[in-house]
Amino acid sequence: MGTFIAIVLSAVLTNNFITVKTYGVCPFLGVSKKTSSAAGMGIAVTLVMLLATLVTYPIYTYVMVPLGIEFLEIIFFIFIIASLVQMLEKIIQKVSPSLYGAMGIYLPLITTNCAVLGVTELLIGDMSAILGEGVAMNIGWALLYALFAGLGFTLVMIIMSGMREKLNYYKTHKALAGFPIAMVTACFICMAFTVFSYISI
Amino acid sequence: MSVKEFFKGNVFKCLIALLCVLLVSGIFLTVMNSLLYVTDEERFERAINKIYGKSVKTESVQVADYNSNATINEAYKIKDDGNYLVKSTGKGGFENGTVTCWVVVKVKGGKVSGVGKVVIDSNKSQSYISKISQSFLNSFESNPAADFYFTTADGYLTSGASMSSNAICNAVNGAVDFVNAQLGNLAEDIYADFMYVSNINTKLTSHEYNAETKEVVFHIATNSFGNAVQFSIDVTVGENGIISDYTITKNGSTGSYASQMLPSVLDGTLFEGKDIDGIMAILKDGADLGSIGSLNGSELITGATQSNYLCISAAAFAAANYQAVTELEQGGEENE
Amino acid sequence: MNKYKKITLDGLIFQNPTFMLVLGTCPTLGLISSAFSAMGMGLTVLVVLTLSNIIISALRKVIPSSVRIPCYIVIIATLVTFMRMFLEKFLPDLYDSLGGFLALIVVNCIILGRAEAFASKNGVAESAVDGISNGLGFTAALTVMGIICEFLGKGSLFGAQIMNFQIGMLATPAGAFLVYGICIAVFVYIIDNFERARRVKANKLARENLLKEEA
Repeated sequence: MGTFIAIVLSAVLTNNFITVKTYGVCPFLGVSKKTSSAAGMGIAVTLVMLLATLVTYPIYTYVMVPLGIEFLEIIFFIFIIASLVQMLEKIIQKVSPSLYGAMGIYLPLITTNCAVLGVTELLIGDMSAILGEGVAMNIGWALLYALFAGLGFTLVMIIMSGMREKLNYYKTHKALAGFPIAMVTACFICMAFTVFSYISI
Repeated sequence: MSVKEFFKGNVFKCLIALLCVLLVSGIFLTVMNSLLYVTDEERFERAINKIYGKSVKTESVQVADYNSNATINEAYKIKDDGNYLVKSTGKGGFENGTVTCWVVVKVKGGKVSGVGKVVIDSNKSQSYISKISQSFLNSFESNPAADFYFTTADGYLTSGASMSSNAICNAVNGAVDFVNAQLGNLAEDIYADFMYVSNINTKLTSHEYNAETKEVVFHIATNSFGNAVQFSIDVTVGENGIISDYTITKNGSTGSYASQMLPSVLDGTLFEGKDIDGIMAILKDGADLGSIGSLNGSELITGATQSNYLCISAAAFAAANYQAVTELEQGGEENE
Repeated sequence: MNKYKKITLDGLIFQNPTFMLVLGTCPTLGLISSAFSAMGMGLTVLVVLTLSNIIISALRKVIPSSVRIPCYIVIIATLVTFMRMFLEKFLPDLYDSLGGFLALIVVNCIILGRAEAFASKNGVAESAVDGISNGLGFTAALTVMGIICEFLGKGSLFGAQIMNFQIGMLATPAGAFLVYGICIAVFVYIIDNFERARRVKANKLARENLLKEEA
């Protein structure tokens, strides 16, 4: 139970992907002008993260490590993620056109989203700081972490889009319009999230 | 589509191109991996060199604990200069946490000649660890204490994080003890068999025996407890084991807790004129100072109970062991 | 020669990947708290980008266009893996300070972007120049922001302590966002003014020529 809470709190709050690790900033800045699209992107990223972990973690632990080809991890992982995204896009298009309309357009962008590759690389690395002493990493914890990291990502996306929607009501200086003001907004979100660093588990 | 068409078609060309790229990449990386592979020994040597500051050859040493305030995790003898590199975990930090340090113990002529670099490796629940400055860590090298036993009671070893400093001192002392033991120079702990030693840092405690007046002056250093760091207390015990003088020379109470200690503990009047039975009478019947819970129901429960606990432990140690010290001293004289 | 000058200026200033196109934001924001790691990241990307541009432009006629993106990804991933091995072996300090961002160079949009937009259409020499100039633009931007963040956030420069005054917030991701945002605004403002002045000058010249002709 302790490990469960530690993983959830760490993935969502204390080690949030955007505000602490700065993974996945491109979609965070690019697709956060409207809350609906931000939420769609967030859910799509969460889904891909979960699926990618489900595939990469077992392949790394049960195939690549025994064969001694860990050094090929980047090629394997990026290939797996790219094919997964392609497959997912095709499947969603076939099964549910309405869902495809809602998040299909974000899927191609996810291949080059560092949050997905980031989570898979993170999970095969040293996770002992989050898991706590004496807890071995396994596929269950990996999936849990991936799921909540994605949800943490979605949370920040939604907060950001809400603030940017409000920002539209104000006139900003020409030089500040667009990315600069979005980054200053992101700065405030990050500052708010530093509060969570006081959580100790 | 016939087989022939497939081999001439675009799909086949694409597949071949992709497979070729993959194959070439794979072969290139395999070759590079065998050329550039970083072995575990290399990784370990790198870590050691980073701590030690220069490239050295090391030899692993079997670890054992010789100091109750520290745990030795790893130890290496530096082949080049005979110094030791010890990874030691010091107890008695904030909230009973620990600080783990890499300590370089310098050796000259078969004896410990000083403490070199001290590098913090990790810590447990030390939220103020960032207040430990580099100059604090350097002071172990620049300001060697007598016998290289360090205590936060030494003025220069203070920082914004007194509990963590205490744990670091314990870690360094543990490392020094370990190396002394390796060299066969570990001094015997003369207080090891004494009574009420659980809160006393026996390594840092000393006494003076006045053969004429039969008075013993204890210079007691306590361990840290909870939020209270090391106290230094001078206790004079006269004949019959009665405390005649009790002075706190360094108050280990952190923050504003010192003012919440019992006033008669602060000036020592609570203990003066009492022997061990008198001191135990301060507690409720049957309590034995074994844990802080034994203070329950006594006047020592104040805003700074942990400090009071250390003080009464020191008083009990002094009063109860008067006999043992005099025997020790007289035994020593007879031997001469 | 004019062609190379344009490629270089575009990569360094007018199409600067960090300030004008805002690409590769993740490693930028993650590493500018220290000038050393920011510059190290910049130089690593410079090497990967130049090599990938050269290889991809050399292979541009061999690779069928329908599988070009997977091929590019494999090439880039290979180069990144190679850089990772190289740094771990020879520059372990830099390897440690880059951390997880080293592997994430694969998904750095600058590299795939340049491969797709430039190297797949141009010759080897142009692609190499493009890779170097874009890489330098990225490195320069990261180093400048790294210096600002580290100097104000930690009071040090490239690890050497200079002053005791420090605004710790600037060495966190929050400060990185702030400094990055402000740097973009300043850069865009200067470039805008510069281009406007150039446009005004060109217009004036054209008008004078026109008047001369009429006269």
